[in-house]
Amino acid sequence: MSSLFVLIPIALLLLGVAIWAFVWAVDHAQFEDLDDAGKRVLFQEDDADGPVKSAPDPPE
Amino acid sequence: MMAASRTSEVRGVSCFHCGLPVPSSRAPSSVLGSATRLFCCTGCQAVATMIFAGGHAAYYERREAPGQRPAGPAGGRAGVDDFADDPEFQRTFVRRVAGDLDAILELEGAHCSACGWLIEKHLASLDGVIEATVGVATGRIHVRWRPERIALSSILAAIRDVGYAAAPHVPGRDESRRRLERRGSLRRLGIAGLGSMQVMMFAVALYAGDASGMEPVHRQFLRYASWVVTTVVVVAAARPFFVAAARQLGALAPGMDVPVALAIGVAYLASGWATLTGSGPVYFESACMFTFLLGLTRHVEMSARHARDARIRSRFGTLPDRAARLVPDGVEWVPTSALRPGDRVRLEPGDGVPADGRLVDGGGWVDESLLTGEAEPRRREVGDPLVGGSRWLEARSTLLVERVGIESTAARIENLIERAQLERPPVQRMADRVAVYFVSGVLLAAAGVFVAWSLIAPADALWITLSVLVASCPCALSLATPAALAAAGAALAERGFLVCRGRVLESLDRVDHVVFDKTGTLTWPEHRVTRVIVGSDDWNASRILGLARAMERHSDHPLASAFRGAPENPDVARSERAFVSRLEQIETRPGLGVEARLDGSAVRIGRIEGAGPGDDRVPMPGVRGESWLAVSHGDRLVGWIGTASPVRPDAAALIASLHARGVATSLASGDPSERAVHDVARQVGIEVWRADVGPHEKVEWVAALQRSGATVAVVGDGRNDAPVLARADVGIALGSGADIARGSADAVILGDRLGVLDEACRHAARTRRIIRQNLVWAVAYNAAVLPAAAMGALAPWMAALGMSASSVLVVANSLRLRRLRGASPGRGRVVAPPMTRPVSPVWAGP
Repeated sequence: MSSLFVLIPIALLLLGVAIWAFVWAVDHAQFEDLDDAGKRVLFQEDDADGPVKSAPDPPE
Repeated sequence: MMAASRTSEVRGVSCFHCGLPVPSSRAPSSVLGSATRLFCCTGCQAVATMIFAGGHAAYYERREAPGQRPAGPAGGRAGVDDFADDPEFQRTFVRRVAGDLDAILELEGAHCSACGWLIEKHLASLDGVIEATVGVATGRIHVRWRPERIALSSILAAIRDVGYAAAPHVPGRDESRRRLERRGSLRRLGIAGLGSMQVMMFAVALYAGDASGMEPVHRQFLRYASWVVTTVVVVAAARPFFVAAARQLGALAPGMDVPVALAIGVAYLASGWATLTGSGPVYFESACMFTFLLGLTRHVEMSARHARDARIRSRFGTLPDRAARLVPDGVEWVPTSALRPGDRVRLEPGDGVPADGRLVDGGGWVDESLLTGEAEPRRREVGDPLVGGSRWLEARSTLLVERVGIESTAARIENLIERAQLERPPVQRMADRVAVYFVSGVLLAAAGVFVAWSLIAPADALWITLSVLVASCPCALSLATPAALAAAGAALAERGFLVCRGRVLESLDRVDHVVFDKTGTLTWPEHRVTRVIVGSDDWNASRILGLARAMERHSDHPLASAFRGAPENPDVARSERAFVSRLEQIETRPGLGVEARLDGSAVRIGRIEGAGPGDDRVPMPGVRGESWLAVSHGDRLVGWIGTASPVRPDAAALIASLHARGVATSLASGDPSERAVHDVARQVGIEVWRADVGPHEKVEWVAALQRSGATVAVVGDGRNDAPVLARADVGIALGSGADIARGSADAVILGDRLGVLDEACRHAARTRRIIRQNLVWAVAYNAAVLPAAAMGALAPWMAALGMSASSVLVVANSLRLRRLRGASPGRGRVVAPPMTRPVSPVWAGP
């Protein structure tokens, strides 16, 4: 159990890193818009097929 | 390929793009994507063609709501494009990043991610655009482009090509403040959450150690580790509670934050003491969990509040973005925000008035309809005041700026809106008062418990008191109402009903009578052409309409709105283009009409006061509450154009629904034409109506109803109804776009769906029920748990858990209000059933 004296400080260090990363993300607007990024992925798979060209009527 | 011309078949068909009904004759159509599509106007047709041509046809499959009908060439915010490229103006919102330009635009008309995707793809296909990102939820476009390859005005035009409107975004104070608040709360949440997880793991180890034995040195080590992390959490994340508690104690009005701060503080300090002295249990995880969970509920409540507030874009939308300031050697263009009292500004016909002030040179007419609702232009001479936001009609004059910024009319109204948002509804204020007594009682009880237990078993006194404090904290009680109101407000905002004052939801449920305005409320604000009567053999309806559109292109008169927007008929469009090139000396005479010269002779379109189609060469077909414009060429009357503002398609359904719920309705209109008001009342099903009602009389009408004991709601277009809206128990304004007089309304209906009012009433009833449930639960919980804690039967960690669970329960119950029950999909735009009266012109002539 003396490994506790090493592991606990490591855990605290990791905690510090986690907190730093979270604060960095908040400050860099990573949490501003949570919906659009997900939906954009859904649309991307269709774009891989290439644009669909059709023949419109020339407007008068 | 033309659509089938059988009237019975085409009625009931909706425009492929915007969903509005297709006029029965000669609807524009195109073959797109191997099927024939029908459109309501050439504008929708152009947009859809553009979308297919760009390869974005998938938009139509993915979108969640119908598109917006685009404004025609003469409409829309054409003014912005003109000087979007002006470097002086761009300095207010464009950044330079490594040689490219970067800006944020506000977006109108996008309701779903498919819209955002469409705009992104379309902009990305433009040469010179490096990146375009659309945030539909926030209504923002972030675009980066190379200035030497493409101009900003082209980008704005491209957005209009696919049917949306964008304008430069100049961030207001509100938005920065909200963003800071949101980020601060998120940071604290993250720290509290991560810290809590770590301390809870340590706590598990400690409890295991208590159960099966642990070396004292290990126990101490774990305790110190917990102490370190808890210190971080308390200092970084719990500070708002301490600050608020100190403020409340200083004001001798202990609120909810006092027990919270006390609990966290006492838990932290006592556990620290126990760690130092090596005796007694520690409750670090309680302090952390408490901080996290309470912070979480506050964050959720704040998000809902922000979502609601962000929708009220009461920026000074009617103020022009720049003004022509007079300087000794001419004129300099400056952003409107740069104007100062004492500046002189040149006003040209058609300009927006940039600031409050008075006329010092010239004279002419001003259109204050956006502020007062009066469509008739008003005469202004030297010395008369002008209000920023109105529109100057003619002629060239000079304005002496008197008030800008905070003191201007526009700003004062925005202030009203802000202040209103801070108001707390009566229910909540009562809950706050109760909380004060409750908390004081709890503090006394805790003190009593401490004293009592110190005499009986001093070692336990502190912990038991801690339990009492934590267990009896009325957090749930104070959360009960705001959580519910926030959730309900956010849900309604999504449907297009914006709650601006807290009392709205509470009052909506009790409304017995609704008073409606006519123009712009029950009817569309714009006029539409209803009939064309041809009186001469060498003219036909298309030519008459084409001439009218060509002449009224630059007129700002409200009746001219009937000639805006893309024409429904290609013949009319062609005729309009032909006339535009032939017309000269187009002059608008306010109150009289528009005159011009066509191939040497005079043409005129105007109102002939008091006359309908009664000219003896043109038989009178019967007046149906329309306004008539006489068209003359030379000295011959060649025809009549009838205009009216059509009744909104969902108005009748709303009235019927209100009646079914036992709510009475009436119509009070400022329109002097009794026939027109009666016509509208009949169409929607309102039996009590009055025409020619001035603002004071409307207020009296509402006051009389209130005196007889009714709770009255007023639905108006917010512009000239300000006093009535303020007088009503619930004042509801209609009006999408930037309408600064909305500040007097308690709630605003965005978009075009009147039916959302009915949904709001139902939701208000549900909200009341849920608030009651919350309050009952909160009180019952506290009452049950307090004795248990005082007896010493409740450990502090149990108390903390129960406390947090109670709060979470209240918030979760309130979240049920987040969705409207029985709501149909698709928000904002009306997908109209076939209208009972045809909107398309009836061709009466060759």
